[in-house]
Amino acid sequence: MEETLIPVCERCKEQPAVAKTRKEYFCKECFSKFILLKQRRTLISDKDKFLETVMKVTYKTPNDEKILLALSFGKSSLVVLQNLIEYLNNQYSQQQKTGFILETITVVENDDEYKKFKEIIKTLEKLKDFEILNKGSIKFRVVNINQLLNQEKLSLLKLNIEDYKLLVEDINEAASIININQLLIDSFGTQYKTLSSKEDFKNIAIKNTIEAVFHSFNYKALVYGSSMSKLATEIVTNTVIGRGDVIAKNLDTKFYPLTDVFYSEVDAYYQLVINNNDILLKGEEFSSSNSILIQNDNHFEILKKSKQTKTISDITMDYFNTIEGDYANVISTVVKTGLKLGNPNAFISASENLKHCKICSSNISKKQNPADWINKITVMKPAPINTDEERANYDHWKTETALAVDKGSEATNEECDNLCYGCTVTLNTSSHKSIKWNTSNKDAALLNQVLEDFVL
Amino acid sequence: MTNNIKLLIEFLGGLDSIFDNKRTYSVEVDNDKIKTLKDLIFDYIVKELLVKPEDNYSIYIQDETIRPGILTLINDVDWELEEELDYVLQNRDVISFTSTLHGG
Amino acid sequence: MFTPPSNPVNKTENLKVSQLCELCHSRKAILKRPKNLMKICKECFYNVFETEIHNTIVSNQLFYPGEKVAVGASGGKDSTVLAYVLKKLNEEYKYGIEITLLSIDEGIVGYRDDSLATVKRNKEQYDLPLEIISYRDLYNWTMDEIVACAGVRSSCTYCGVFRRQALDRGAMKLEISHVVTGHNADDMAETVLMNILRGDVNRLEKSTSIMTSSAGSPVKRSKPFKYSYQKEIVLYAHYKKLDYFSTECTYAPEAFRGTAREYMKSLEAIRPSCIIDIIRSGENLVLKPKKAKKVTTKFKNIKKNDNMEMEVKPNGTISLFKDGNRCERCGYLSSNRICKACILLEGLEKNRPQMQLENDTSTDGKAKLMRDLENLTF
Repeated sequence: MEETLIPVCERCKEQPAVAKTRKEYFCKECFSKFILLKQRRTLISDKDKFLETVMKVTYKTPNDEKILLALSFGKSSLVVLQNLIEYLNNQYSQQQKTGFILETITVVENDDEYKKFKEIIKTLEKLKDFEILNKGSIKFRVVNINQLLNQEKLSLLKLNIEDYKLLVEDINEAASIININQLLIDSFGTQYKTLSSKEDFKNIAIKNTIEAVFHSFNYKALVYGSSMSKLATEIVTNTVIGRGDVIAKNLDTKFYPLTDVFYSEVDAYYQLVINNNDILLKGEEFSSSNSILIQNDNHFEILKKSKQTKTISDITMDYFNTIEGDYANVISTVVKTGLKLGNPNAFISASENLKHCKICSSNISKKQNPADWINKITVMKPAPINTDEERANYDHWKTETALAVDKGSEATNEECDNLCYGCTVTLNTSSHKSIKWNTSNKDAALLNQVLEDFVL
Repeated sequence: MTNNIKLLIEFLGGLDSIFDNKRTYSVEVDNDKIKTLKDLIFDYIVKELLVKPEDNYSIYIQDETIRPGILTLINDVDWELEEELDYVLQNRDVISFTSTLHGG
Repeated sequence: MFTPPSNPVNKTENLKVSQLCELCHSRKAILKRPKNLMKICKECFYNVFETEIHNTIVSNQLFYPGEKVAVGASGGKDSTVLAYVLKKLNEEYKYGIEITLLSIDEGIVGYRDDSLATVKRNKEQYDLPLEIISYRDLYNWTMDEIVACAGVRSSCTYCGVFRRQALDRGAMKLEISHVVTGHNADDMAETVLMNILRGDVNRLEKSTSIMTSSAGSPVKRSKPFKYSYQKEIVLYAHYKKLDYFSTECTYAPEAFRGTAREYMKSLEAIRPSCIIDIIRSGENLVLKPKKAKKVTTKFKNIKKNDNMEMEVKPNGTISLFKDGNRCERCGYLSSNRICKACILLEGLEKNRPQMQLENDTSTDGKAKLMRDLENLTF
């Protein structure tokens, strides 16, 4: 093998470099310190030091405030988990106390994932990186989204194509076991082109579940493992699917310790420090084509999706991947821009009650009512019928649709405008402009029936 | 005996620049070999009409279909309504490709 | 010479109900609207396309009766369709506006010659007056000369600054204080994306405004195609057999904008509504309130005026224009002591354009990023 000159780490000036990022060479130790410090800095400075206040050990007030980590068991959230465990362990070894309780929530989609989750918990127990000194300080919670669906009452949400208002019909699903993926296929079919719409609604279902857990059990903070690259992807994806209004809320109400860490850095850290593929629940959830490792012998097979099977966020990730190497500025610029955004409904008078979207539960103001906005810019008036041939076609259509209408039952629908713009557009791409969705409130009692807790 | 069909192929909106600056091609193709629009594009247009394919292929084709931003019409009908690449060619069809990407 | 697209000869016999237009149910659907995925026929397409533009004009009160309006005409598809539709709507709905075509001759041999020929034909075809203003007359430089001096890379920067002034000056010469441009929904969506990607927060909130004007300038700009898809504009021109010119400018467009456009087109293939979705998002992107500073009250007053355009200084602050400031060099209305065009021209004369550019755009980092991005291909 040809010998190549390995550069020296620019931080300690001693060890051989293993990674190069932000134009600097790092050895393993300095790189790992660099990533941990970046997270630590974000954690303690974010949102007026709120998280630091919650996390630190106090001697006057109790130290049992709870933080919820959305743990998908992808590389990013595992890196954050490891960091928080280390934080707790440091507190414990220095002060014989821990300052907070960490609970994680994992949403699984099927029985296989649930089994995998249980295996991962067993594996974690044996890993040094995840060893917990104060046993009571961490709890792992899991919920199977399908079980949750079966506990709830479903409604049929249908879009009126004439005026984009929402028709809500209560349905009594006859004791069938409902599965989120089947529910989405029922609405959108199996074509590739519908992948983005299904992804959009599935993400919402998962987000709704995590937020329901967060709101029902008295947590102080909700933490996500999203890297800077992932956040940039989410900001741009939300913009392009008409969900620009939720960007600020997503960033302002949740905590992201990896805000200042690129995915390529998370990936490198994972390989260098954690280096265990058995604890990844879904494999690669965020693809990065650029490895920053100097000698990358641990070749991960990057999931090469064909263009036809790509979703909006895949295309957005691709776009960033093409610029992440040399043009890292764009990713950090996007995140910084996102952080400067505010609530579009901030100036709405208190007297106007904001509505909540029946699907994603985001705020809808009267001023920005999506149906009205779409109707204003979309004309639905036909041009007049002129010829006999056209008249005949029209009559033909009329007889056929009259037959179809007779067959369908005239259900009593409640019309409302509780649907945000993004959900309106996604729903409009479904085959029958409708979806079955749970619109009921997920409270602690309901969640307790489906949540399962594990302690290492 | 071959089973030929006549087709009119047009490259508009500036797309003619990669087709020898010719907007309209009146062609005859063997219908036994070229049955669908997909056949026409990949076995005829790309091979016979596209100038300097090594440079220009990606201007016309992306991910095994017509590049996004190029409008494909079959007898003036948006190809989305005509099965896109699977459209079965008929004698005397007019197929047009219009670039929408050029400046306005 | 204009060659219209060929007329199809094949016609579908015995239409199935599923092939019919979803609006009139009486004619064959020929396109699927990207906006709402509806399949509609040619007649209904003309109707909704034109009516939507009319609605945009009326609901935003773009015109008043008797107003003189210049169409910034490049000969390209957008401005050609704009001139045609505006003339048609003006007659149909009696806006009572006077329309003039206003073209800029940048002096790009081979590109502008041909497109100007198109505009001259449009003048005859639509029976509208035409005014051509050239860079040579205004600045004593043609774009070809500027590129020879400053290089291809910064050509769009020069052209952008010069053209904006040129349209204003042309309009003023004609005593017209309203220029309508063919910027369409795709352009606007692209701008929203670009502002996010470049972190241009000061422009973010304004990027979806339908009408803008630089304070101090008596000329306002508006975009009646704000909600019109590029695809529909091209289809309209195609079906109506409008005579437009389509060759990319010889000095290729800004590469970064190009990558954003490619990205958007890939998205459109799987979510056709994304253009309008981006505009919707753009209309809902607001900045967090600034932490109290001296300028706050002043800033608020300015913000009330929707049509105000503000200049962003390199250090990120916003400068407020004083009315009636004039450039010391050329006497043209300008917010600064010396107008942008004159600064660029001075640079050209000294043959040191690059430095001037850096001073002009923004912080060094951003300017550098822009230059880096110009080399990038997606």
